Amino acid sequence: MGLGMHYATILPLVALGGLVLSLIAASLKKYKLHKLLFKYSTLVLVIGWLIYMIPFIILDYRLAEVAENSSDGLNLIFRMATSWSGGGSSLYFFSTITALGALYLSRRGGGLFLSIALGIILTISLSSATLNGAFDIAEEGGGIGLNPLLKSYWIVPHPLTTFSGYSLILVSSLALLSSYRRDAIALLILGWSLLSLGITFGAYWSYETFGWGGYWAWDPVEVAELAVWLGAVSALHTLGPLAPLRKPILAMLASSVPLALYVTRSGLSPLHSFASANIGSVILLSLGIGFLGLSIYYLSFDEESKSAGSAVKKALTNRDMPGISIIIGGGALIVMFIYVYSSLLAPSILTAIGKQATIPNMAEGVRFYHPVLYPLILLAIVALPGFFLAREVGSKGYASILIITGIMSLTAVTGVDRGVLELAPLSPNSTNILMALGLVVSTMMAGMILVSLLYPLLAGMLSGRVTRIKPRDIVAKAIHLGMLLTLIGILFSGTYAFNDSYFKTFKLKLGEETDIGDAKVVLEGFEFERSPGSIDLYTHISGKRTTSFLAWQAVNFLKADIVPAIREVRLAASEARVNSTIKAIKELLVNNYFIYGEQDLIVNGTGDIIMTDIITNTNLTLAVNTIIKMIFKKPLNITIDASPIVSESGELSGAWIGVGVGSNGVILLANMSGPDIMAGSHTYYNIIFSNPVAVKLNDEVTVYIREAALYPGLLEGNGSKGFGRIIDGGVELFNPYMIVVGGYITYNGIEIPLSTVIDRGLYLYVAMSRGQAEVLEDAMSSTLSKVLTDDKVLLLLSSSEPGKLPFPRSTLEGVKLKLHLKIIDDDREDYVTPVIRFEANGEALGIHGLVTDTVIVERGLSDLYISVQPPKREGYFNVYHELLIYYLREASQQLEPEEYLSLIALMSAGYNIGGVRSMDHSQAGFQVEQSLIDLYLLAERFDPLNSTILSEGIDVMVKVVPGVDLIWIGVAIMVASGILSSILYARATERRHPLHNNVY
Amino acid sequence: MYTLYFYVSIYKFPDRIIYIIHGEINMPGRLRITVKQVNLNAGVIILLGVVIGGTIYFYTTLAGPTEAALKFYSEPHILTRADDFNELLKEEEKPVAVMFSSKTCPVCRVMEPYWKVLCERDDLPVSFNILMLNRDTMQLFLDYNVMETPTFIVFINGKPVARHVGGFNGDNITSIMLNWALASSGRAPSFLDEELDMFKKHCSECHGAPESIDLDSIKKWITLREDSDPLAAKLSVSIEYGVPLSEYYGGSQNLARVIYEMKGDLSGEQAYKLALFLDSIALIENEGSNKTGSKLDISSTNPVLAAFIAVPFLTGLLSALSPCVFPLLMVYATTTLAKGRMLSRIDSIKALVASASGVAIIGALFLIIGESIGELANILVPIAGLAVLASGVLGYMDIPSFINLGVATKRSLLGFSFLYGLLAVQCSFPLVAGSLLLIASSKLETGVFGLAAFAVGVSIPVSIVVLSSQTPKFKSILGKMDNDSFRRYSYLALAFMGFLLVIYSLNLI
Repeated sequence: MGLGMHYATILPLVALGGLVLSLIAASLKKYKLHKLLFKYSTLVLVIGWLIYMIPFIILDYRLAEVAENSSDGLNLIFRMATSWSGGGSSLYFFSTITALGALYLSRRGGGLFLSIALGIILTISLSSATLNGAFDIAEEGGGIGLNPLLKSYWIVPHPLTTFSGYSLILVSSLALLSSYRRDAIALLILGWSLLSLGITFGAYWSYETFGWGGYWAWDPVEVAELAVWLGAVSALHTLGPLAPLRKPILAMLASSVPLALYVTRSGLSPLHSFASANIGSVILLSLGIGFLGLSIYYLSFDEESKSAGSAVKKALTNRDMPGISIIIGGGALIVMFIYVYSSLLAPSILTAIGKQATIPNMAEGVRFYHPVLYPLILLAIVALPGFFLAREVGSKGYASILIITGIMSLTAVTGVDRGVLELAPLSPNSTNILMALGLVVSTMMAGMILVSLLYPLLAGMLSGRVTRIKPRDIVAKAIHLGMLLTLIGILFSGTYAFNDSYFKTFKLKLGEETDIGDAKVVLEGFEFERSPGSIDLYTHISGKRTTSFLAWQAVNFLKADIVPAIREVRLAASEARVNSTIKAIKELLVNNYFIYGEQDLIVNGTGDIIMTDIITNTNLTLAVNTIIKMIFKKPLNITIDASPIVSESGELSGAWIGVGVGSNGVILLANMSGPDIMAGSHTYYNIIFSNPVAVKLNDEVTVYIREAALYPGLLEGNGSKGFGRIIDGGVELFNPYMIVVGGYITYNGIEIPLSTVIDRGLYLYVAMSRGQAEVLEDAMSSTLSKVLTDDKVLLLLSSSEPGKLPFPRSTLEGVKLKLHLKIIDDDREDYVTPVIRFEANGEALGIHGLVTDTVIVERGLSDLYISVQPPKREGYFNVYHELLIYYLREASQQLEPEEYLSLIALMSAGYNIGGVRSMDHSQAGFQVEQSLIDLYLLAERFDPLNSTILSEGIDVMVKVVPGVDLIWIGVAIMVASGILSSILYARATERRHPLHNNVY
Repeated sequence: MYTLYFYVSIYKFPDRIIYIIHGEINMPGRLRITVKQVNLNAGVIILLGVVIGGTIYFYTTLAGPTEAALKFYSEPHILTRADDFNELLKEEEKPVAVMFSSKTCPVCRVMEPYWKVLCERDDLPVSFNILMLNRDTMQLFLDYNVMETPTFIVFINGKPVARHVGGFNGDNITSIMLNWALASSGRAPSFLDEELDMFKKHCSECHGAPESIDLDSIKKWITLREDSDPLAAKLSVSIEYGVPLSEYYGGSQNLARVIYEMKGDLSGEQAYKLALFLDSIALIENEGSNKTGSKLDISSTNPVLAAFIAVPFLTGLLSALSPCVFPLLMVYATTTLAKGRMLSRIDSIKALVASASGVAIIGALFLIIGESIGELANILVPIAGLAVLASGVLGYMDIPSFINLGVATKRSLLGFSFLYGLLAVQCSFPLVAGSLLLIASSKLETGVFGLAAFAVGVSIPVSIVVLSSQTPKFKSILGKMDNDSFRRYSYLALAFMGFLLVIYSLNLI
């Protein structure tokens, strides 16, 4: 947190002060003053928001929230959106909407309870916003840009609707707790509608952006939204016999909102982890727990709440059908609410007190939530006709509906079980059964609701009279119909969307038609483009992020191995032209490093055999100056290899050459004696010949063995047989490996010593090491070798402070790849241009900068979901997408060599972040170093005209997501009717309490 | 002079009681029937809901989204649609070997991986495929008389030439399958040479043997021995009809068993090879023959077909008992009798025909709709079944499901009967909707039968009424029909038939 104040933060802080004063006034029983202070503070709070947005719009990086979320590449809409999507600023936005709700409710007075409660909430949310950095001053520097995944126009509606929903639900639940108010019900329904919309926008955002086809992952933030949503629904269903429960439910609903805010802010979610738990978040959680306490208080001590039991009993004894339906449906909703709420509460409390805890998500979430929620959902929807058609069909009619639905469910389940009804071919049978059962029930209930909706119309038409239709009834039915359609859509598409196994991969080649399902796709062209704008990768990264430490380590490794290697190779390469030994060794290593023997190898000689124990480091002489015969059974694997000698500081100082012989078995014949002449798991034979024994490997190579180490069972083989057995005159070893530790090789007459440091060993090691030789050769011919041998650059790259490197303070924000696709679907041709983005800030922050794009082809109620993958290019060590390579190429043009090298190191660190997390430090640094070299070389030679799109094409992953459109249609109906219903409540004239009044 | 007759139905609802009053005011030359109260009742609401819900359900699960998804995820050699299969038989020039498989049979699960190896090879002279049992392909299973799965059939020029029922046994199952298919399609002469030697060695003592595998030698061998050797006789028939010999033994395994039992010194595998050998020599002779294998049309014995006729008949009959038309009958009977007018038996048949034609007008509409909706007719059967099931349940629960309509009619017998037919269908629409949908979903010939049964069902009560003017006996029949337990059990039967239709259409039976 920087020092000083920003003009945008004055009003919110004044409002915070005013709110605190109003609470003090209330505690001193100066209620008039309290009300006055409360009213004007909320007003200041709301006006303050308008001023708060200014630095976001004009990109004033002095405000930390701007610097951490924005950049000059963003347009006006995105800049505005950053003001409500940051860690602290979103809480300020939440406070603003809450204040607006408070102002709406207080326009006709309003109770003391409400203004005090709202005063507390606003104080807490505004404090939390402050503590989460909403008003912090940034250190000097530029903006790092918006999180790549958030850079989508959904950033406008998703947070707006979700947070507004939270605010309005919280305000209205408190208003309803204090007393009944029609406008509060209207506000609750409006908040619920906005939250429904918010959840759906988020779901669609995920569906469209993340490229996996899923719209729900049981991510903790999603679960939090669901908890509040279920709470609001439960509260709206505390009707009839459940009406006495309204107070505890409303209090719990109020509690769920700060809990949801806490989960969103606390880093519990892998998807929405913008911040980690801090004191600012913890006070939100305490607020939530406070309301939970209130709920428990109502349950235990409130007379009205305690009468719930008798109300339920009464409905049951009176066979009051609508009442019973409310008990079943509303009861199921309340249980769902409590279950989901509790699944958030426990981990939240644990993280707040510093313990490790997770909320079940992804597949784990499916196992945790589905078994409980699925039957409850069925119960809730089965109750629907019992309520909406009670008058028209009576209890016998309702029973008939259940019987018919039951018989149909039975046929559906049997159908799936017998394999004649198939809904999701790649999902387990149990999923298919649950889908079929759910579909029968929800479609039948949808049919019933539809009829109940149409009934007044039909009756009117048939009777020829105008039937009186209550708009509120129609709207209520429409909301439930929308919900059922959504449910049908989810039942159909859920497993297809969630499950990766539904993806089929197709290759699109430039200009060629590819069949995907019954549509055809042609890749007609592509364009690489720079994104506008620049970002600061120094201020927010250097020494602050894991990626910067990895990058720093990789650069240090580079200096320790590649730099000396380049120097040595330069030296040796010129020497090799005149020095025949170096030349010969190089040839030997390159041509003969691996020999596959098709005949038995026999080694005959005289010498000593010593058994060495590697644990106790003791030697036991088994034979002295005896005749030794070793018969290695074919097939043989003989390797001639160079191994590096690494100094303690990690620098490569030289190499030695070794010979290894592996085979299925060896018979070692010698006159051995000892307590146990059979070597085992930690012993080996050290064989020392009096005179070097010549073993001819091929026409060019002969090995002279002076000393060899023979290990039993070192190669992978049949372990159950043991290491070997004692035979007449010696031992037979299984899967042995022999290393020649003393001797020499003759290669075309030139003698080469074994197992000792050789001249220019490092050069030879690098020259023959598989993969590395080419890399080094490549590096030598690229500007990399020039940069790495430039002392000035090396000095600038040296930093004793971990994580500090000269990362660029202003560099290209990102790049785009536009793909021009033609989609031929039933003779109709569509042209689409998916854009794959690479955002450097994502890679730098370790959350990946690549954002793939999807193309969604509508086919009736289903989608053909096409996830477009970036072109890939192989380096020496890893495979990279071309956008990263293109980005580096473009970025290199405006950067100094040390900045550029640091940038590549940073990108390499970000690119490997997933893999290196589980490695130890040096392994991780080594892998990042490899990527660094790869990326440097690839970027230097990259040309968009030479993209692998031309040679190999691109991959698209395609899945069919059936029925998914029903979700969006259902929500549209639900939300539109919800908003209408909210307006009807706000305009209604009756003063009676509909929650007490049996409206049915 | 005015005469007044009333017939009153009373229905109890949770919140009100509905009286439905039908009256007749007798004026010169006119019969007027008025309906005092019009309302859409519980049964109609439920039935409508069930049909709407069922339509959404069946459309989405059996057609629409699911169909599209299943098609996308199907494998090319696994056929799940009858059209694909027919197209394959038509288009493929190579012989086609098809494994008739089903998802639920364990032997299929074992055999499929071996067979799939062959499916994926394009270089073989035979095209290998799998046909999965489902609603759409079921008819093919019936057409080719596949009674158990797996059954393997080889087709040449679209005609079945050989079959193997059940799994294959042996060390290398894939190669045994390949050999079977090659031999069955007469494509493996080298394979046959070896078998010929075996045949000569083991069987020639009793049966003789052809000199070599060619047309002339085989003919010579068979003609020579036809009269004395039962094997040759059977082979001769098999050649004549182009049916592999094993078809007469119930598949190649059974033939192999016969051979095995005949010759004790043969191994099971050898016996099997000989069976294939006998099959294939018949086909070499007969390549290009257009005769098909025996085809049993079991659809005529299908009990479900009975439901296609019985359901319309029963609903038709029951519709007459619905409170919206039954009073009509009673009033008519009473007024006619009151006037002392005697009607003959011929009149009763006339009435039946007139009423039936009233029904037929509406029914024919559905028949035409059914013929024109094409593929959607597929999901009409389960929807119809569901509607029948629902109206049965509703009837059994004594929940009224009819639409009241006012109508005026002339008093003439034929006019009355005709209008009665029209009216009975209209006002009992919820009850008969299932039957009408069923008619729409059937093939034309079945539909006509269904429609006829329906029309007769509706019209029988009219003719009974006419007869009852003659004899009190018939009136008592009518009285008995208007009886609670009769109604209830009839509805129960209806519900059961609806259930039968649903599970039939879902391929559960």
